[in-house]
Amino acid sequence: MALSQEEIVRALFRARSRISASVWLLVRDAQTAEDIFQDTSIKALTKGGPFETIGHLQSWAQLTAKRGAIDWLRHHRPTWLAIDGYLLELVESRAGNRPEGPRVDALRACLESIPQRSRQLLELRYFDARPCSEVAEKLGINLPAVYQRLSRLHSALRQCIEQHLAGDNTAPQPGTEAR
Amino acid sequence: MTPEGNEKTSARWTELAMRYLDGRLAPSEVEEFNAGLRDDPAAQAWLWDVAQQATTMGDLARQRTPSEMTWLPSLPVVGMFPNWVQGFLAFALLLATMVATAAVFWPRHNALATIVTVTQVTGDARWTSGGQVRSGVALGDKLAAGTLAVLDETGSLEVQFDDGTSLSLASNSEVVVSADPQKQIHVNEGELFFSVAPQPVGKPMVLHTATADIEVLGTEFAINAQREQTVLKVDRGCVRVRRLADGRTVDVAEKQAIVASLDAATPFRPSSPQSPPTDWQHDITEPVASTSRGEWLPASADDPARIHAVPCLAGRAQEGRAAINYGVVVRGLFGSNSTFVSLTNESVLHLRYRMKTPVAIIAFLCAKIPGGQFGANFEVTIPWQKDAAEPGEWRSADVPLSKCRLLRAGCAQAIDGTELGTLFINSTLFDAGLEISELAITQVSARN
Repeated sequence: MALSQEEIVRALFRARSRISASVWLLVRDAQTAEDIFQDTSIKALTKGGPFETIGHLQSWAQLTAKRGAIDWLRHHRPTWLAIDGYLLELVESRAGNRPEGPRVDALRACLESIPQRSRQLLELRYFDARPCSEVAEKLGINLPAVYQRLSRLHSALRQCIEQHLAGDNTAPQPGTEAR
Repeated sequence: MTPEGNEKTSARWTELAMRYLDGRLAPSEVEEFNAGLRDDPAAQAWLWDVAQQATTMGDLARQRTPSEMTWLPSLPVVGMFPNWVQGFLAFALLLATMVATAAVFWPRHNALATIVTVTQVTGDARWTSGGQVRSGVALGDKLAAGTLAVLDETGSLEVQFDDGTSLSLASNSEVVVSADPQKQIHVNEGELFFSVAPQPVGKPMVLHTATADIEVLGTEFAINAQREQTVLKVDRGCVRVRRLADGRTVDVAEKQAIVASLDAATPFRPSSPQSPPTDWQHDITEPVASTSRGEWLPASADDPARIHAVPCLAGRAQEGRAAINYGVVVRGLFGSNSTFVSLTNESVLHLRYRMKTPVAIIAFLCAKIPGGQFGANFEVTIPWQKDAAEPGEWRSADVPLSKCRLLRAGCAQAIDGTELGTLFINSTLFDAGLEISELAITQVSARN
């Protein structure tokens, strides 16, 4: 029996984090990834043929969203290199099954606890979606230093989020080694 | 936790990963990045975590209230004001929302606004944008931002922006054009000529190729862009070129040329391009260059090395069907000259060939003027020579190029003084089994 519209919406919402992260790895812009996810959702709801199972829907949505990402890259970033399809699948295979809500809360808590300088770096890069060259200029540091600090912050945030989700309220503050 | 492996490898791979995420990973770094990702589960997990963090931060960004934005001052609490002020603020907020909504949709409408007009076209030219496709672009067509492509071996396309800036595409060329807020041209591949009107201060026209970024304020120049190399020749004015491999920037002045490749070790300085020689012979002892077309066959006990004709797209028929000609295409190789022989009234095309089906051969010539601008297209017919067979059914022909017919004039109307960029020897619509063992352009007949 075909999925109802309500079931489609719920299933897409559950898969949103995974689909958005996959798309982000291609387009590397969070707002664009969200736009592509929304376009995919609209297509799912207006698609002519029915979805028989949630697995069918989520596979279709994942594929459609990635195609949308590749099309966006071709039009807007034709010189950018895209990660190979099979490598992207390898990366996606590392996704866990945790619900999205607690992860968002954990990230918000971790962001509030990092030093101002580190938070400014993350805000410029991911909240304002500025390229690293602009971030470097804004902060008065060189580009390799931006890359280094970002990679360390990501690693530290990962550790902080994991410890929050594990229920450890005394998780060490991330970003303390980012100078 | 950084990816496993020794610290040096991890630091190097994470730097490559950050460059990939920043859109700055060079083609030469791709294999190293892919290998690190393919072979290390920790790297895969790290990258997935980064993606989740980034998208989550994007969600948090959309949820921010103005007071949470670090660069904005906190807004006053609305309830502090009298009711009439609150009502006014509510109306102002509603009006601002309506304006913001219009601002969301207005750029979408503007994205469909035309930015160029087709001023010249031959062969099969196509425009695509946002899922729309228009094949068989015609003279006078007005096109929005999108991808322009000339798909066949003999076609060309010229478009013009409102300020008079013009862009000419040669055969097998593809570009992505936009003009908001300044002209941006992404050259996917091919050979192009630009005549750029003076641009607004602070908004130069910017070209992007696989190996260089080029900034233009007002000038005339030609580029040949391939995956490994971009060749730029400036006819008038000055052009600033940044080589992507190492970020070096060079200004290229009038009548100079420069080559920007993926290899940062190669020289990157302007030079004065030399005109190609008036005598040229195609080297058929080696496989066909990547810029040319044809199936190369090595020498055997019975036959010399030769090039066999292949199907080539040569435009579209009126009903939209692809026109396929069977032939051999020779184009200028890499270097500061994408033309390979200078033509004069004394130039002679020498050909040693054979065919399974006795038909006439057409030689199509796409010529340029010194500097790279399109000169003209010419054509000459080589009739079937019934009684001129040599052993192995080989035949020779020497055709004075002064007998060429002018197909389309650009900056030239005659062969004399032009430089040859593309030579297409074909048996038109028939696969006549054409093979060529000698191909040359000289100043005298090869038989003399």
